[in-house]
Order: sequence, then C-alpha cells, then structure tokens
Amino acid sequence: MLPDFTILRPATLAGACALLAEHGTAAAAYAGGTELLPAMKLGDAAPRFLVDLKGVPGLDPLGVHDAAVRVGALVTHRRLELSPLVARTLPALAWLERRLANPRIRTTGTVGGNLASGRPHSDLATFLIAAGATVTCASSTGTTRTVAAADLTLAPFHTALAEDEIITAVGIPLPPAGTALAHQRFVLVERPAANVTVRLTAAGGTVTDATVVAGAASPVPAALPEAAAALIGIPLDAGPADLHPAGEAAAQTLTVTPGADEAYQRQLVAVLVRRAARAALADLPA
Amino acid sequence: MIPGCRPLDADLAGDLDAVATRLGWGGADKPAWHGRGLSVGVSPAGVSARSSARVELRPGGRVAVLVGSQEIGQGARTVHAQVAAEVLGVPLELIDVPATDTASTPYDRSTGASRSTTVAGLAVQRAAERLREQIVAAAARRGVPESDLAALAPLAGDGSAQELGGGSGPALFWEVCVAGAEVAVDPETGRVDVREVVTVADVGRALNPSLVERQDEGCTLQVVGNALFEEMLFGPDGVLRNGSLVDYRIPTVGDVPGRMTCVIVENGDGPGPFGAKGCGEGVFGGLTAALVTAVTDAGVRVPELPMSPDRVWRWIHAS
Ligand SMILES: Cc1cc2nc3c(=O)[nH]c(=O)nc-3n(C[C@H](O)[C@H](O)[C@H](O)COP(=O)(O)OP(=O)(O)OC[C@H]3O[C@@H](n4cnc5c(N)ncnc54)[C@H](O)[C@@H]3O)c2cc1C
Repeated sequence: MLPDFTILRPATLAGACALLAEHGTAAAAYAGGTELLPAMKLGDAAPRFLVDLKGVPGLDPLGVHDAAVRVGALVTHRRLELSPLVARTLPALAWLERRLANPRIRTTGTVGGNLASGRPHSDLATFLIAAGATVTCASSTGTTRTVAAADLTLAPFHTALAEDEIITAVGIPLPPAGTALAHQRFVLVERPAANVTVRLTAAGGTVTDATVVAGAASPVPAALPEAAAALIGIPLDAGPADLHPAGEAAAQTLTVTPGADEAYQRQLVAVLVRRAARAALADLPA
Repeated sequence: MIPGCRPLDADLAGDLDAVATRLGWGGADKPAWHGRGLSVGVSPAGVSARSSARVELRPGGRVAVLVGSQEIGQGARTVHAQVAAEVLGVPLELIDVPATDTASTPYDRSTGASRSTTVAGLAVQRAAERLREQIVAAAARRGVPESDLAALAPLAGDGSAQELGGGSGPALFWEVCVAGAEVAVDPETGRVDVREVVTVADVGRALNPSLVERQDEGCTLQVVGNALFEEMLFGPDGVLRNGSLVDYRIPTVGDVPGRMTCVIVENGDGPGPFGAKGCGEGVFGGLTAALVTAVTDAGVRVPELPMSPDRVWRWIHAS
C-alpha cells in the first residue's frame, strides 16, 4: 500500500527546486514514478511530499544542439526508442531503448528518473558514460551545473545530486565520422545481470581509440580502461582471437558486486565486451 | 498401469512417431550445441466424478446449461455449450451458459485437473440427453413438432458424471502428452534457446480443436518458465527472497519458442463426452523431460531444474 503523501505541482523549474529545498529529505522529485512508487509501496521510501515535475515546462525537448543530442529529463524511454533522430544519430541508444524493461515502463519511465535513481543496473547510465555524455542539473540557488555522466552515480542508489537539485537534461555528443557505439546486455530476471557499451574510433582500417563501460554486474557502471586498451590496434575485420584479450581484461578488472556469482558475472562481462566490440566494428565504415 | 485404476488409453507409439517426424528425427546432422529430445508425459486427471449439470429448455425456446465448472479462460463455457448443442441438435446461438449460482446450479466438485470437458462435460452431455428425451416425449404427447422448442418449454434434464466411478486411485482418466523439442545452447552464457516444440495432444476427441491447441501452447510456455528459469529462492532465514514479479520472472512473449506445433490425435478413447480426454496439463510431464533430454543431447549434463543460464554455464565448465 502507498503511504500517505501530499503531491505538489510546481509550475516552474525554480519552484520545483525551491520545494525540494524547503522539504529536504521529506520530499522527492516525481517524474514517471516507475521507481519511486514501487519503492514507496515496498516501504523502501516514504517521502511525505512528491514534487511532480510533469507540469514543469522545458524538461522534455529532444533535439540536436551544439553538436550534441539534447534529451530533456522528462523524455520517456519510449520517445527515445521511436525517435527518428536517435535512430539516425545514436542507433546503439535506439537499440538499447527497444530492449530496456518492458513497454509499460518505457512508456512512463523517464531519462531523468533512470539516472537519478542511481541503480547499478541502468543500461542508460552505462551507455551515457561510454558516449561521453553530460548531465545538466538545476538547483534552488538558481544556478545550473553540468556533471559528466561518469561522475553521476557514486554508489548503488546514491548519486552526486544535492537534495534540491533536479536533472534538467542530458547532452550526448554526436559521434564523429569513424566512431561507432554498441550496447549489449544480458538479462536473467527482470533487470540486466550485466550490460556493456563499447565505443570505437577507427582510421586506416584499425581501431585508434576505444572506450569500454560495464554496468549491472558491478556496484556502479564504470569504465574498464584495460579492456579498452586491448581493443586499440585491432583490425576492422577482427576475428575472435583479436577480441579475446579485451574480454579477458574486462573480466579481470571488473569490480564485481559483493555477494554476486562472481565467476559468472566476470564471464558475462567478457562475453558482452567481445560481442559489443564486434557489433561496433560492424558499424564502422570499411 | 496401477491395479484398481483405469488403465492408460493412448497410442503412445503412434504419438512418438508423430513427434519424431515433425522434429526431423534422424535427418541432417545438428550443428554443435544443438540438441533434440522427446518424452512421454501422463498425468492423473479428473480426480473425482462428482460433477452434475442441468440443461433447461426455457420459455421462449432458448436452452440454458447450468454447470458449476467455471470459465477461467480455458473455454469451458464454449465447450459445454457445444456439447449441449450437439446432443440437442440445435444451433450454438440458442444456448446460454449462465454464471454459476449456488441457488440454481447443481453441485460440481472443482474446476481443475482437466475436469471441465471430460467430467463436467459428461454431466452436461447426460443432462442434455435427458432433456432430449423430455422434448421427444412432450412433442408426442402434445402433438407439437420436436423442433418447436418455444411451444414445448419449459422442460429440463439432469445429469451427472457418476458413471466414471473412481475414488480408488489417482486417475479418473489419464491425460497424455507426448512432446519433443529442439534447443540451441549458448556455451558462452549458458542461455538455452528453445527453437522448436512439438506437442501431441492425445485427447481422444477434440471437441474444439482451436482450444486444444491453445491449451498446449499455454502449457508449453509454463513449461519453458519451469524448465529454464522459474525458481523460488529462500534465504538462510527461510524467508522467500524473490516474492515479487520483478524478482521472480515468469515467461513473457519474448520466451515463446521459435516454433510451436500441436498435433491433435483423436482415437475416441477417452471417458468424456464423445470419447474426449483432458488436455494441456499433460505437457508439463512430456515437455519438461523433452527439454532436459534436448539440452543433454546438446552436450550438457543436467542434474537439476531450472536450467537457468548461470547453472548451464557452470555445468558446461564443470565437465
Ligand atoms: C520492472 C523494471 C524494469 C526495468 N528495467 C530496466 C532496464 O532493463 N534497464 C534500465 O536501464 N532501466 C530499467 N528500469 C529502470 C527504468 O528505466 C526507470 O524505472 C525509469 O526510467 C525511471 O523513471 P521515472 O520517471 O519513472 O522515475 P521516478 O520513479 O519518477 O523517479 C525515480 C527517482 O528519481 C528521482 N527523479 C526523477 N526525476 C528526476 C529529475 N529530473 N531530477 C532529479 N531526480 C529525479 C525521483 O525522486 C526518484 O528518486 C526498470 C524499471 C523497472 C520498474
């Protein structure tokens, strides 16, 4: 059962931040509610005030601005999934959104809510870190700051957001020509058991730059630099032997969630790194 | 099979041939990590003959089937209406199966154990036969044509499934399902992909073939969950750890096998109306075992269920 609460409907961003500042830990921002409401029903959260962001203007744009895809915090997964812009500029994100959760969650759940939850399992967080994305936040002082996606999740369910801060948008740099991203995930129950995004840049037929990020199997999504290094120099038509070292490096350097099935989690991440690398290679122009 | 119990009526050899043929048994070599399996499943069904029904010819000429076995999506009402229509020789549109009312609906023990068609359906058949006798007698007495139902109403017939006896063993009848499957195992992640499922519904008589197929498909999906991932996890304190649908995954559309074929076999050897037996639940025995033998055939020894990816991966690496 839902505990008692009061719903507040601010009409401006400043008003929303002010309400969060005023009520402190007794308040929670409320977007789609797909994380928040189940947590309240299970007794894991009991905010007395829900600050509904859905009436705040300016939080739902989706477009290109300054060589980046700008995604407002209230944009739903479903909108990203169906967006022709996303399909064209960030096909790996469209691929991910098509598989994230289920249609009900995708229709209601938002980008801001996904990131602000600080869930270790977030596909979106893994992808955004690999894509070099930034997260813009507004606070009750009227200032905004921009945080690298990699610096947002500090620990499971714990983010760098201050009590009065609201995520307003995410900026995902448009991948330059010669750069491709690919996401892979493996689901055992409902949320992914492991997810990986690989970003590769190639020139002259070989990989010149690489980023590997893994999540869900680890306490927070994080880059695996040794795995990325093992991808540099491999040819565009890389075979299993070329990709194997990156998988091994990922398995060895992954920080595994305590209490998890460690050997299997490392194996999954190794497999997903190889598969994501192969998919990214296939998307690079020959 | 069991002394004092109704023996198993089924053409098991013929059923196995039907599965093997559909799966291409003995055909081209399978790729690595692919496997095929088949198995025979029987389940003791019916449980009790305590089903009764009443079929009424009501003023205005419509027919009402009063039966306590419930419609829970399996199509019981449809089948009960069909049985009455067949016996009375009237169109299906003339038959109503109203909701159960303890004030007017005769007693039925339960909806389950594949009883609704075979046991409750037999009670409906017998009740409809009694009503038909009443109609014929009343028509002769009053000099009205048998087809003028409005003029003959009201009349009623009662029936029961008592003739099935039972009580001495687990099975009023045996529900039979011979099943086969083809799987592909991903040796890197342990994921079992069910490529193809064939179920033979040895149902005696398919009163409604479409409903028989849907029963086998529904049960196939339940077997996929049971065999591949559904599991209740308890902590050392004995408390269920995955008691919500977010933590306890049940099959969804994404888990439907690549191909499902239901072969209906009708030998008229069931004790229910027109030789029918129950269907659906038999798939639990047949298909679960077929999936285990298919995964074994793919090269993985299976010591326990469910064959979840993490376990399958461990079994591969243990050998
Ligand atoms: C069954 C299920 C399966 C899922 N599977 C996946 C999956 O496979 N991959 C994946 O990546 N995710 C998955 N998710 C997570 C899903 O993406 C999130 O639930 C959703 O995006 C949250 O958005 P929301 O708008 O509903 O958030 P809400 O529930 O409204 O809010 C969630 C939290 O974020 C805060 N918040 C919301 N918006 C803001 C904001 N703009 N600024 C600051 N704080 C804010 C709230 O106070 C709350 O603490 C799954 C969720 C469920 C329930």
